[in-house]
Amino acid sequence: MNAEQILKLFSVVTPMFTALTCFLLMFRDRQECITHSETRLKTVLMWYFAAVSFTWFGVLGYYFAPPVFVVVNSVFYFSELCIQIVFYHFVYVLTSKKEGDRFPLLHYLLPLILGITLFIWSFSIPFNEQLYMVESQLYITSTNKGYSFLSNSKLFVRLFISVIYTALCFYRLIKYHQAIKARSKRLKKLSIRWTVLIMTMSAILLINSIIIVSTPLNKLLNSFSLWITALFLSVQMVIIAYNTLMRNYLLFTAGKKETNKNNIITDLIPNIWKKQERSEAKKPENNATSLTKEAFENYFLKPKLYIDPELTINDLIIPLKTNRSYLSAFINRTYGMNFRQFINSLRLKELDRITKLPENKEKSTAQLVVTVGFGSYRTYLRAKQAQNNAQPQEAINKNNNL
Amino acid sequence: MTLTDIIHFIGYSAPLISSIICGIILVLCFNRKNRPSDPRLLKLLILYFFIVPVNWMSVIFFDFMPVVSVYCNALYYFLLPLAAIVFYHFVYILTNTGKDKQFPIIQYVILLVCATGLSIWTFTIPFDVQLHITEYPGNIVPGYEAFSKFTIARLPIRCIYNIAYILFGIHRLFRYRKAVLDYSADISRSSLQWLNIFLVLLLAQIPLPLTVLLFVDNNILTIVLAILPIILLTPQHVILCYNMLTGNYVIMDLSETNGDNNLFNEQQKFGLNKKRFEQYIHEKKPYINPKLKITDLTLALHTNRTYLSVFINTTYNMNFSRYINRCRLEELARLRTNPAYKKHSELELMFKAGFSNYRGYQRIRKTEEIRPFKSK
Repeated sequence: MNAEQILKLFSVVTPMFTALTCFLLMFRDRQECITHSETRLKTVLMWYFAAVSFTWFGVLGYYFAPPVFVVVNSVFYFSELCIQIVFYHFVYVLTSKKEGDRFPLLHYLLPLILGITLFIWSFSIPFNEQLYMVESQLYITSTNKGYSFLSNSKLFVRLFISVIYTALCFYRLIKYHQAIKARSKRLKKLSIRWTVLIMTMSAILLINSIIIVSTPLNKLLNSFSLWITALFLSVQMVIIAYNTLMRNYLLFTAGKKETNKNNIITDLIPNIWKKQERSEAKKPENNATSLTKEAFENYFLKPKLYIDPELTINDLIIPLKTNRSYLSAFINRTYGMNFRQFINSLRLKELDRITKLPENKEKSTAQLVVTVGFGSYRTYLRAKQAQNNAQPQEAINKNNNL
Repeated sequence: MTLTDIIHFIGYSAPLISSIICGIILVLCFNRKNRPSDPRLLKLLILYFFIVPVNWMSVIFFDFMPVVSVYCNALYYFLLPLAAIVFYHFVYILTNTGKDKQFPIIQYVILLVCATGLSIWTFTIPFDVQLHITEYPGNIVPGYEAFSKFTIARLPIRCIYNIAYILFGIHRLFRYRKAVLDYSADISRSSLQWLNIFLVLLLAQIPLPLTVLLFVDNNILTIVLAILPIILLTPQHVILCYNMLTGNYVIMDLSETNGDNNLFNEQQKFGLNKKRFEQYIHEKKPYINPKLKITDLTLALHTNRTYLSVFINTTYNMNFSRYINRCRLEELARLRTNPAYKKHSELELMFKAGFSNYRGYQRIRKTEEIRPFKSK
């Protein structure tokens, strides 16, 4: 083996093992997720990395071990076409605004049909001829025209899928950015920066895949564009993995009450526990009044602690004799929103109340906004907008009835 | 390029790439403002993750490009042993039981001296001889017997050296796991189970290069042995990286606790009795803090760490961690029977009782079932 061959091998092996490493990281992190939406996000991402890893394993087989490739050909076809769709699935889960927004699995139909067709067809073709098709590295071989055409059509079908799904990803991410901008500066910094980076990389990869399609298969391994794909794809995967691990994102779906479930906390339960709970057949009762709710409201709502603009969830842990995970889960379950949303909704309500008071008649909203605990007028506007945009009407009603 | 070559290459590149990726992720994490981990540990692990790929690259060069391998020889005298020391340094800080001094820098100095000596020796050997030895390992070149023998002995020496460092690490880990039970009640963090898994797997992998040497003709076996590092090292790097990212460890920090001797003497007059201690535990419920450490109690009880630890051990005949976790189990049982929490799920109650996660809870429940506590 000389240096050139080693470099070629590296260009294929790098994305394969990068994806494998990210897959393992996601696999581990998935076990620590508390909310249902996060688990879903990480599961999809895990499958994305698995698909990328397997696809590059296929590429490795195609160029360096043809018999292996012949065996995995149909699975490879399926996984290669799936990559972009799973990626869109990930973006879909990340940006979805409504709980219970299911990703239509119909998206996977085309790759599945093509993969199965190839699989069934492959039984009618002798192994040697399939091997010849791979080793000759031609788009269409003279003996099995139809089969080789289908087998090699993946590059074109993939390009077609990439164009559509990258466009869809862009569309959803742009909408997501707009929704986040309305919420807060901190989140904007967190989730927008890396998603923009990823969008740029996707665009480069898309342009690059056009070049790949126009390159003959036997020259692809020596081409510069394969290196570009390997490199950008690896960097993209690392960015995604890092930011998901660090939870640099905002899931609009996390922490909202699901309509078909009694209790959001049932969603906080990891899989192992779910199994056990199913076997014990426990059912949480919905209308039992909770002592904690009283204690919480006595401590927090009556003295109006929320008018402190710098209040964080950590400030409540010690006085309420609880811990962060529990309190956060409690607020989610009881009020159907996360802590920040909850506090802002209380502030807005308080604002409504005091604007109606006669002694405040001459004061401007800007003055009053500060007295109810908003740090600035801008924070108020953002909270108001967020409430109008994202919060379902029922949650607002629920709040008003407190 | 044969299939065996390719499989070997894949085997070597798996830990190489996974280690770079883990290193990059940790570097990204290091630049965050509120990083979850201790900066010293992060730095050492990042260093480790960037030395490991160089070492695997050396294996690739050795197998496939002997000329490059000869050029890099001197570099590897430094880097191969450095990985083991850096990792031991990492374990050293992580498993500090409070009594240890600074990490002995002398280890780095010895390495530097030895490696420099070997490099100088290597430079006196002609290039052709070195190349010959690299290409045909095992041959003894006349006139350079000592160097040939040294080249043959390199692999066993490295194995013994690595095994020694891993055993040191495992020894420290055992010592730490005993000591931490009197310090922290966060069982899932303080057990450092992941480090244990990592070290034991690493120990199991060391004999691999030796077996490859023994069965060099047997193709299938060499292939299998070359693939083993893929299966094991990639998840191992992920284990290290993930637990560092999430800060899944407890460093025993005892520096501030040994100071107040006056208070301690005064305390001995009043005495820390069982009644007062239990009253404090039941009223303040410190155990609902999942990260509770013994030093969190000392101020409120006007005592010091050593005294409190001895007190719990002698009064209840169990260590701090077990005592606190038993309190949590009792709290959980109380919460379950409390009608106010009827609609709460088990997991929610578990959080509320102070368990940091499900795994920790399960471990404690199991150990308590196996050896239930007999009250005196």
